[in-house]
Amino acid sequence: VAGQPNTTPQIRRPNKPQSLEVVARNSKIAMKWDEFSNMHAAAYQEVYDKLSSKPDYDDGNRQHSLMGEVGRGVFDGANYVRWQIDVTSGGRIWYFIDPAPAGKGQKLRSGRVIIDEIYPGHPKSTEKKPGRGRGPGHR
Amino acid sequence: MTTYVTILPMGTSSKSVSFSHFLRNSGEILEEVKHVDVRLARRDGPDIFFGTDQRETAVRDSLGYLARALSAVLRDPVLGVHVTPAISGELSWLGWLSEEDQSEFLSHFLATIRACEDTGGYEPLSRLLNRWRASAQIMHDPELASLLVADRGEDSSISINRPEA
Repeated sequence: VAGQPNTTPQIRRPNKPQSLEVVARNSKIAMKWDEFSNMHAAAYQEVYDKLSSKPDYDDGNRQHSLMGEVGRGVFDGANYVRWQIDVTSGGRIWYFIDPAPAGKGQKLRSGRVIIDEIYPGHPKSTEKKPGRGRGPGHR
Repeated sequence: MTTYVTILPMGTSSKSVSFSHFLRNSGEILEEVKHVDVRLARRDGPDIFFGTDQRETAVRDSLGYLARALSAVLRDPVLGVHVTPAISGELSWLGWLSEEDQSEFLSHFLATIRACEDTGGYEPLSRLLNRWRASAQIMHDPELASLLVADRGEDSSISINRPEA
């Protein structure tokens, strides 16, 4: 319009994608994470990296959402879609994705991943069982 | 070097060679591709499918016809009643789901088939089946199912760390 200042709409550079925070839903799950990640560090590192970067990536095989009754879960009063990622042979981790931005004044993040439950699978008979030291006769 | 021929269902043959073998013998492989599909096996990424556009188009067209036919049958109230149990028979794990989940599955299955026939891509159908199959496996295993329905106690959100090597 003649006589009015020419205002150019500003666009903002998109924020760099942030890592998602990974949390356990309670102390019991946190203890499970510590226990099993000590036993299978490499596998749990891989899982941690996937959950903190691309938790909603469906690879059509080992990481995907669940469906039906088991595909729905509740955390802290809110409903979530339950996801599954295979971690070791037979081992699975179930989790929720909470994309809600952090509150004012908190560290910027893209959301968080809430680990709902961990199933370690059945250990192979040849695997060393945790918590067992050397047998009698060893020093 | 490992070279072998895999016989796929419906009489289609497929040859599988390593990617490095293909790089060394591309002329020979190109000749073979005229007659048979070739899968290039890679160590550092997904295998690559190598075939003629004519054969691939024929497969996609056939899948499209089948999807449209199945979609039409499932939509028919009379025919659908008879076809649904037949689908359950083909997907052995479907019986592990509750009746409500089976009904939800069929609804998703039909909607995804329609979307696939519209777009010409069938990966969403494969992903859907993978999700439902995994869910059925949980329902079928009392140990797994009980884990997910157990009382979780008070929710507290505790940060966890990336494991150290």
